[in-house]
Amino acid sequence: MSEATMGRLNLALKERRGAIMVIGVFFACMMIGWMWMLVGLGDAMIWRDRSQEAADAVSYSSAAVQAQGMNLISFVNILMLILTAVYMMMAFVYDVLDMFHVILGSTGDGGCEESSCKARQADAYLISLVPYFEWVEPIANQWCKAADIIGKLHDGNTNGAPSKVSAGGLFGLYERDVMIPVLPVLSKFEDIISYGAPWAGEFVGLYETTQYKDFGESRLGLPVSGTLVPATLTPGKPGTKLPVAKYKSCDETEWEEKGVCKPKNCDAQDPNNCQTFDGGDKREGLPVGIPDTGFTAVCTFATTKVTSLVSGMVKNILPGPVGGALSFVVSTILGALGNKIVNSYCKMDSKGLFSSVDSVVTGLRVATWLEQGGKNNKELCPNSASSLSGGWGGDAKDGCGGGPKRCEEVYDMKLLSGSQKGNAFWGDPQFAGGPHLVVSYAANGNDWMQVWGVVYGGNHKKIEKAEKLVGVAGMDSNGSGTWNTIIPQDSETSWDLYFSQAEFYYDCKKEGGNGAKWGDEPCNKESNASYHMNWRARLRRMHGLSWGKDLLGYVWNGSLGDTFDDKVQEGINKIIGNTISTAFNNPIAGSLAQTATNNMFLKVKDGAGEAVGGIFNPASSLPDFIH
Amino acid sequence: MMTTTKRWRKRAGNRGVAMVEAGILAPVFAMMMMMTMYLGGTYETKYRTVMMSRYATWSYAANGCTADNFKPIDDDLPPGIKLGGNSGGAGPQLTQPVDPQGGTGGNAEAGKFTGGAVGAGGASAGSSMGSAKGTSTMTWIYTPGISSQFQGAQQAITTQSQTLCGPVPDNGMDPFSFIKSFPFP
Repeated sequence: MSEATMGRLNLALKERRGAIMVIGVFFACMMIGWMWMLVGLGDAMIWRDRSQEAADAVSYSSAAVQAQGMNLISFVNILMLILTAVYMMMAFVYDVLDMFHVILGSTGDGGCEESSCKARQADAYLISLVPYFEWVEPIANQWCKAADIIGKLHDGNTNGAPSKVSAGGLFGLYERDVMIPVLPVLSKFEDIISYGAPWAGEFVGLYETTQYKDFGESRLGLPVSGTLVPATLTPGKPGTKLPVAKYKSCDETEWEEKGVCKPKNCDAQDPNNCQTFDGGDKREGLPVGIPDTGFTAVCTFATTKVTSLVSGMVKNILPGPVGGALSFVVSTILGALGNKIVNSYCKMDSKGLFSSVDSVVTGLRVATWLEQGGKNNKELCPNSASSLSGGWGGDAKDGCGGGPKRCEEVYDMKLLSGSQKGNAFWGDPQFAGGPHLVVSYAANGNDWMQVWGVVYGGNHKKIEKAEKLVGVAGMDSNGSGTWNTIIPQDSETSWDLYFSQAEFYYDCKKEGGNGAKWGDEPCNKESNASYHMNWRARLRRMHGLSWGKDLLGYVWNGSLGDTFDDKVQEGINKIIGNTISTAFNNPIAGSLAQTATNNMFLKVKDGAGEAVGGIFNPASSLPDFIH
Repeated sequence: MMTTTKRWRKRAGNRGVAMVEAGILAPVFAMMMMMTMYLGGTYETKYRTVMMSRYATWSYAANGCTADNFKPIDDDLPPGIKLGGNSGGAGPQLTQPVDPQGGTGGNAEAGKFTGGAVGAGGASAGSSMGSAKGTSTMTWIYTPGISSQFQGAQQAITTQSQTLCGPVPDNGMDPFSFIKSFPFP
């Protein structure tokens, strides 16, 4: 090395000029890097935050649609309730008139010797001759006038089909033109809602996700709920295909001890507190189904509601133990009366409240049995089979000596048109339909009212870059190779999911049920929730899903007919049993070996099932890619 | 004639070079600092609009998208939220217009939004087609603090959120109330 070169080198080592510039450029580069990172961090934060909000919107929107679907079903149930309540009132009025019509005897229907009312009037005169029964005579004097009035009200005294302006005519018209055609259509409408609402929620959720755009990029989201898969495709007919355990959601002890309403997803948290539900599953998408009793269930709710309202009023008017006792008495009496009314007017083969009047009247007339009446009686009941194709009402006439009879078949309605013609109206959920009530295993808070939202927020060029910049800041060095160490290429954006959970629920507080249990009156006692439009939606914290465990249990525990277990144990018996038997030349040793191995197999299987099932445990930590 | 070594020695003797270099670099660093602050402020503003639009949207949606039920919680109100009644009526546009003064007048939290910057903005919510739509706009005006007269770049940042209106029936068994609120509350 020459002297000059050495001199330059020494000078360069002692040189101070440009030193600040070098440091400055270095820090400038650092600052540029920090700004770069700041941009990445900001973009990633906003993207992630908005993705989570989009996930919330997905699940909430679907839950809101389903809540509105439940409200719509409740609304239609209320329409059914109103129509049925009117029917019950008309039926009761007609039934009372029909009873008096039989007791007093019809007029205007001719007679063998006299009209029916004349015959009964003669009976009354005879009774008035008995000592202490003189008071009957003034009644007997007015007998036929009263019979005439009752006859006009009852059927218009037409001696045929009831007049349209009579109670019988109106009642028949109401049955034929309102109850029979309208209620089944309403039930069909409810079918459409219960099958359609979850899927409508699906599309709304999808749409709402597309509204969350940031940095010119959109997201893809999907709501998922158990209601998307109906348990039956034939409304009213229980489905048995789905391998979903059906539970009654409750923990009565906890609720009673703590006194607070804490809806519990018992199938996920503590299966021991749950009761399995047998008998098939009638759920149609939304957690509602048509009860076995069909439209009779509407009558039952109507009478129960009236009983509850009246007994509640009594309790409010008379507070304290007296009011409580009186309320109990009223409740018991009205409850019994309600049952009687439902049985009399709202079931197949219902015959009205006064079904024994015919025989009583006949029995009372023994004394004057010679007095004939009703020979020319041609009365027809409302919707009589004689006057209406497919009618059901029968006729009200009787031969000489009998007088008019009650229209007992008038309450037993039948479908009059379409392919369902001739089928019963009451108690026929498959053909006539019925109200849609919340299924017994669904309750506030359990999986049947949950909606999970999933948003895929990754794989966008700009966002992926931003995530990588954050990765640099976080010294994320996944992968291999120099470049991957500096900028990770396997960023989690390649599989970036955002989850959320929402639920639709019945707001018990709306009916004064703060702290009420699901089975209490403000919530769902006597299917209360299915007749109130108090369904709402809300977001909730993510929790695990019990269905995974249920499905695993279904397959693993041999619900498929023990095929798997049978095959394995058959193999064990062949291999182990024969081998041991041959080796020891002892069939007992072979049998013992078979038993021991079979038991071991079952133990291992149970252990494996528990281990896999634990993955679905709500308490398990979620994978990293789930936010 | 000066040798190369002598020239190097002469140059090495120059004093104040570092000062000059620092003087050259200082504005660059200052500019970078200002850019960093500007970026930070931009993201802070964006994040505030995200929070405010979310707040407006979800509180409105949870209350059935009706003016009567729109009762936002104001004890933890994020800065910039403007409280006000809904102008009523559903339409394709937001029914409660953005208040240009929102977040400044009377809002104690507005003070937090300074630090070399002046922000103004607000949030509002309305509904159309059954969806609650919230929007928040804030204007980010960068004031470096060199002089109150000097204002740097500014930009308006807007964020929109949307979700479906939640059902809030008035009366459990009143069909007329339900009809009134359906299908789009």
